[in-house]
Amino acid sequence: MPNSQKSSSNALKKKTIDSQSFQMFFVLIGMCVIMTILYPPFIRMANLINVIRQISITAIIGMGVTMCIITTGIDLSSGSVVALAGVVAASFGKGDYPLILPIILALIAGAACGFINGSLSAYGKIPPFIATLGMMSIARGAALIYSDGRPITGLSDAFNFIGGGYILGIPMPVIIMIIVGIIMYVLLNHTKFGKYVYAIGGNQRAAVASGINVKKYLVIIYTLASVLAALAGIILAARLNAGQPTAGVSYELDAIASSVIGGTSLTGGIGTIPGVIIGALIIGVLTNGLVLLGVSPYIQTILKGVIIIAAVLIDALRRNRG
Amino acid sequence: MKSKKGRLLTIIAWALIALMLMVGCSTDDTSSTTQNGEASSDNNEQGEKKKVGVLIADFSDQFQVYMMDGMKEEAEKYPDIEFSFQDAKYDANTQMSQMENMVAEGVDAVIVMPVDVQAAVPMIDKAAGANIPIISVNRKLLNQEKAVTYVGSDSVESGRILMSHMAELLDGKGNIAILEGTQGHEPQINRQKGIEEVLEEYPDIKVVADQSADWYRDKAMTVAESWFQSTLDIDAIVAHNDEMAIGALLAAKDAGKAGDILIAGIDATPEALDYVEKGELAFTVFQDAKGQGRGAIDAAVKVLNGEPVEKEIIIPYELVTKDKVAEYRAKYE
Repeated sequence: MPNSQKSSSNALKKKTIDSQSFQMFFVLIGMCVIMTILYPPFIRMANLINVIRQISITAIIGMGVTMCIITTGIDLSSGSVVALAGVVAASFGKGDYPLILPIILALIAGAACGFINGSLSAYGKIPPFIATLGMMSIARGAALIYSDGRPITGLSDAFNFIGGGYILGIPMPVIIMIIVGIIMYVLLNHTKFGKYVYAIGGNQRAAVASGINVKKYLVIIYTLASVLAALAGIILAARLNAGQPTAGVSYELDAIASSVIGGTSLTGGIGTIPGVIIGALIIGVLTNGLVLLGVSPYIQTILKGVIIIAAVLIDALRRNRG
Repeated sequence: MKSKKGRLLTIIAWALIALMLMVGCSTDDTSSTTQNGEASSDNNEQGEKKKVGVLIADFSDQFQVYMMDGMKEEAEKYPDIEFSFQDAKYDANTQMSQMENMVAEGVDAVIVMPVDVQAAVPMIDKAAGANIPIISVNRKLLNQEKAVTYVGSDSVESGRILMSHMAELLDGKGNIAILEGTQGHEPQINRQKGIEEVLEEYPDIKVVADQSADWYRDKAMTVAESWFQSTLDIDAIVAHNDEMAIGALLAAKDAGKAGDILIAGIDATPEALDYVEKGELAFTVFQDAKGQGRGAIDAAVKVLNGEPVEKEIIIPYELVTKDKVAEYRAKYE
């Protein structure tokens, strides 16, 4: 039922955003309360900032993946793109190159991967699952070749600032995540592009019939998703003070999990930026909390799986009811 | 019905596959020529050329990259022997198929760094059954008696060196945290065993935290960050490898605790040596990756020439403190 209080053009969509993200938001708050009771130092500002910084990389990747999932696609190549962008950035992040150079080159490397993903999916009619699975392998190989299998180290302080610096006490990765989050939120909610993304996910044929150049937009969506993964790769390299060709393994799965926990529906058309961030925070709080409590890492893995399944189950039940 | 565009895409797809195959084959050629040295240009009697399969667990692992550097340097001395390097990508099943291929091909010897010693048992049986001499490197096999020799280091010893030097630095008392490798990996089990053996001698050293970070720098960083946010009082961190030690160091720097906590790892990677030199890592333990690689090739060559080989060739671990950094850095050049 459309919510009459909302004056937005797409009231139904807004309502689903509210209910889903809201439920997960309360789950997050609930987890924080439980953690604080079990282990009071959890709630200290320093620890909370620490958690937000830890999830910022996953959240940035997740925002791109969410866009793909909204269009009923997926992006499995993000973890490998993180590694490729990381080694490309690191190779220019030392010496006397201006700081903008490693950033631009790494983002271009990411964009190239995403452009191929999108073109194969849209024009080659290869399912995105397969196209990006291929890219997952190709980008990882490219990262290993580029770096000769070795980490690239000796990065400049200016470069490392991207991952390890602070502005007004806020870690750089968090600042970047917030900026990216705002841009992506505006892009998805207040532009023609965003409207098309949801339209393609809701009903691709209808989108074509209504004159949207679906193929073109799919290429843009996948390119943007990989650019975000590349950005995450730059941050990771700066944070680790090294571009590692083996970095980012299974990051795509964490990003997809964040997206799904945050209410993105794999059947398409539904998903929000605040949702992904909440999803990433839920995983982050869980990981941080369990380490603080000294719980075995095996149990952590199981709990993560339970939360992912529970989130999708809630989504499925709601859909059946509605 | 296929559209023109569709047909064009099909052609492009096939062309790409053909291109990749050509590229793949040609790189194979170049890699084996570099291994064979100059001799390959005039080898008409290819049938007489001996072949050694080298099964490596993971080409993308730092330590193994350096180990292969040692192998390739040594292999260049023997242009009459072809060394075929295989990457199992850390998958025991892939390695099993590679071993089966080697057996089918009838290679003259196999050097193997097993992905998983447990899963390697049947494939070693198979190769031994086909009378192919086996040289295990870095990780001792469970059915080592089937192999000619083991070239590697004693992981337990590395744990002992790590913990006993740390205990000395702590004057025998304090709180430590341990960053472990992936549970179940041979070095994780044995390095931890070495650490625990030493800890028994120091009742005043308490282990206040103990987590696995899967050998990764980023995971270790996440774990250490959480430790520093907890109420735990940590005087020192010992890590099963340098990557995790560096992760802990970066987290400590971030938390403003870098000077107060002693951190050390194992491997003496070039980057870890830099941090030891700067005094940020307390010390590291050198595992001679290149030495193990060279030793394995040497052993294989001896086997092919019918010379006797010892049952175990142990390359010792060595403690690397700040004053010895230069000496160890030279080993990578």
